[in-house]
Amino acid sequence: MVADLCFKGVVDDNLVRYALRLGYRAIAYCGASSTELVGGVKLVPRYELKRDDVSKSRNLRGLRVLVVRSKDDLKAYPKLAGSIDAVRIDFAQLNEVNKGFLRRLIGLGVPIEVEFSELVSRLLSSYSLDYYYLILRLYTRKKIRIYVCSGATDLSSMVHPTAMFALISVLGVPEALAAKAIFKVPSELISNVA
Amino acid sequence: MSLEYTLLVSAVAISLVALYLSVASWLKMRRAVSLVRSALGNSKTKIVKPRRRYLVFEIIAVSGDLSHVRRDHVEKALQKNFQLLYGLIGYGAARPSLVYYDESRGAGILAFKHLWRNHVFLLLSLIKEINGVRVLVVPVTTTGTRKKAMKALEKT
Repeated sequence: MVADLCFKGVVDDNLVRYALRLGYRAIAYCGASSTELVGGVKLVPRYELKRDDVSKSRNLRGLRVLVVRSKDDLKAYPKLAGSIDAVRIDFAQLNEVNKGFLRRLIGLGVPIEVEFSELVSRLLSSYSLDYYYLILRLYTRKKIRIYVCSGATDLSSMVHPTAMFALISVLGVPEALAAKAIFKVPSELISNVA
Repeated sequence: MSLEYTLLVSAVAISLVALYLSVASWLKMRRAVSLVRSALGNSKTKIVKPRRRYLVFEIIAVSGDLSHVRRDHVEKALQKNFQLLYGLIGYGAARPSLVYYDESRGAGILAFKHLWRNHVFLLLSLIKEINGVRVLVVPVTTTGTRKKAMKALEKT
């Protein structure tokens, strides 16, 4: 099952039709209140959580993503087990990545979200990709798990799954691992939360 | 009886030692061979001859009329975005060319060198607008010959 786990816009029938044409069978977005099947596409709720909100997230039914904005957000990471499904790192606000942070990230054991649109915009506007390279290198060495999502806000910013596959392949991830990050990990997460 | 038993045990022990020695020497040899190989350069990597691939793609209009999108517009969009992403050297190496474009259906065939397949997929996802029409470019399939690509295009 091909799934886009980070759609940021409004999902309507038109978008569902296009998503189906692009090959998606599941979409996780913040506007959904419960899991439902619309026109052959499974719509799953997505919750972006701050560190303080994690304790309340156990009862939430959907994809629970912890947004990491500082290195302190991963403190006491064993307590997070079972409360979150994925981690999203806000590299724009995170100004220091040190050994301790990476140790916690590896120890946490949940997949890390890599957003296609953000990565491409950084690539095209010549911002630093160092942190992304670091995440991809850790993934290539099988220290962490990642998945890639589109990060689309509307219909025109949606991307074909092969484009996401191509992006991380071009950035140096072997094709087998790239395929896992695009197809296998999202479908596992969707089947767990839905 | 005891002599036979002693001989049997010693024979088994000798054969086990011989097995251990042969496995150990084989492992040592394998390590030595890999060391020599790495010192001489990776002999496993072959020089791959770039081959031509044909990508069948489909253009979906998100807003606007697809009939405004003509072949030369698609060619220009491809060239502009490819050079933006990979530069003139990449463009020269990949040699992407629009082999065929059906203006009525908004589908076409793009030829390129096979080593640049992922780059071309990424490029197609970055084309968001052609001649004022907001579009999504969807790759359908990749083939090795133009004839097969035409057949795939007819099926879409």
